Amino acid sequence: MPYTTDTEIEIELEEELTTTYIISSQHRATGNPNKTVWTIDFDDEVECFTQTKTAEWIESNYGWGLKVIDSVLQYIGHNFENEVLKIAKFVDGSANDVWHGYPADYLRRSQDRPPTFVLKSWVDQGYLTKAKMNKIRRGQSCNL
Amino acid sequence: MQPLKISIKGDYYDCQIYRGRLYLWDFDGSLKVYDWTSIVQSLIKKETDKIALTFSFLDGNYLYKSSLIELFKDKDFKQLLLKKFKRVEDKTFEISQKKLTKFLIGEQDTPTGILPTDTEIYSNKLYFIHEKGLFSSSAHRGKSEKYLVSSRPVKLWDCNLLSIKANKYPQIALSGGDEGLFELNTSRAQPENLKKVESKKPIYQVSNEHSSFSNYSYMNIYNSSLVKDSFLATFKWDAKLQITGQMDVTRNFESKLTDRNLFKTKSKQHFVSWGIADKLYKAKNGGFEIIKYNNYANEEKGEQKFEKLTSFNLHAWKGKVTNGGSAYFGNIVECENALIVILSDNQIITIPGPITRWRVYPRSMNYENHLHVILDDCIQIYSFNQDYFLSQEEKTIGIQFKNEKSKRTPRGSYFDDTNETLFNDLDLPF
Repeated sequence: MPYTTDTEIEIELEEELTTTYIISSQHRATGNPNKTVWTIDFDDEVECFTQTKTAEWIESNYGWGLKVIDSVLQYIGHNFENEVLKIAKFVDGSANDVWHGYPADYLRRSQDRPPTFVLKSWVDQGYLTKAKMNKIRRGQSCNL
Repeated sequence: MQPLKISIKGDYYDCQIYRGRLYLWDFDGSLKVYDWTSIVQSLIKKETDKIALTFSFLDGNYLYKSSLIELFKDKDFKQLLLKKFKRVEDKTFEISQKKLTKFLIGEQDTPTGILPTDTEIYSNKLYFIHEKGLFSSSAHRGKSEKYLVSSRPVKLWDCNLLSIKANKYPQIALSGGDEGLFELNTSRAQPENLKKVESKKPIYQVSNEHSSFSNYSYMNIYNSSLVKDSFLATFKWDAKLQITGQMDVTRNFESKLTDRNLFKTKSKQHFVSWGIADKLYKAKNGGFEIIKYNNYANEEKGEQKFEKLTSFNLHAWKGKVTNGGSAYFGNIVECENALIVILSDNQIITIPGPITRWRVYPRSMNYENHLHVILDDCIQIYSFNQDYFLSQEEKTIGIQFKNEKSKRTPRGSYFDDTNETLFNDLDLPF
């Protein structure tokens, strides 16, 4: 069944382990300077989140994700300035395993920078170089 | 004149050099401390190379001495020294990890277990930041200690900062991205007109505007932003007479001067600017502009505080400019794909990326001619030595070296920079 926005989606991660995800309509509509916007389709957004949960790129109630094809990071959204974004951030706002997400704008928002262990894991898996990891941590632009 | 270079193999993430010790953070999270003096001494194979290698890597301050500057006005003396540098500049000094192990004096996990986003060593303390906040640990500890850097750091603040920069006085500028610009001020002259953000720690908010990185220009802070306008936050001394008859002096925030006004920029396109000491720089398409800043200008006598010097043209930046810095020997511009070093004699050197990290040490006593560049599989330690032979007042690139500084704050050479026995048996070149 096709996904719809603002509706709880139950995702089976493995046998008897599920999680819930909501595709937020706020991050699908342009015009709000405070909201980044997904450009990937609903299926890709959910898949990106599922990978984040499976790979445990999560700290407390926040998770970070990527969309990778043939070892190349894909463009997943943009900010109000129309700058390309390639890192996803997921939030379990009520700490009840109900998540939503948006493209992270690490250059402009400190809270959108992934923690070191997540970035290091991405370097170890070849998704990022050490140099790019350092630039992300220091809020500098880089060709992801 | 080409720079000298030492290349050390390894998977590094950050580095510092302080009082004869080289600190290397491995990407796996360990912090190793090496005896830098012995590393350099091991590279001296010929007696005739000792002077060049010592000044290049151990005592970068020595050749700025005013007495030597007079000596270098004599062409013969100058040529003799240049010849000594020339003899070693074509060599590549490569150090394998196996060889490096011989100089290891301390090894430990990085304090807190998280790789630092940025570090500073100042007054025998390591300051570092990462997503859990700002910390300090005692450093440069005696060799008898289990750890040369304390493994139990003190947490000073929980803000997730982007970069930190110390000045010569006990102040550290703290860049917090969209949280703004802050300062850790451990001096006695606490500001009266800045908001304290931590009740028990002398951390003050200088501005709530975006701060990517910052640096000190005299007692002021140049705040650089990669997404918004950059600015110079100026400070002033205010003195009040106490009941005791003593003068109470405070360093108060004065004003904010945006780079748009300083550089009279009209372009809507964003370009980063940065400043340190007497020079302010702003990148532009195909180069950068330079302002000479004289904090002590007597405007009644017609002296200018901000004097536009020149524009420096480059063929092209290697991708977007992401960071900039200055040392006495020149400017360092970090682009997305390379590091560009514009030397004080206008020579340009490009170091291809990917660059994990680079550092200069303009406020150190002996390593102000160093540039450390961490690449994927090594750290390259460059030594630039052309600046000793230039007129400091006339050069436009790089910080102006002022010998009169030494009258107020004696600048030591590495010969007197330590009370350790590390250098006791050293055979000095003079």
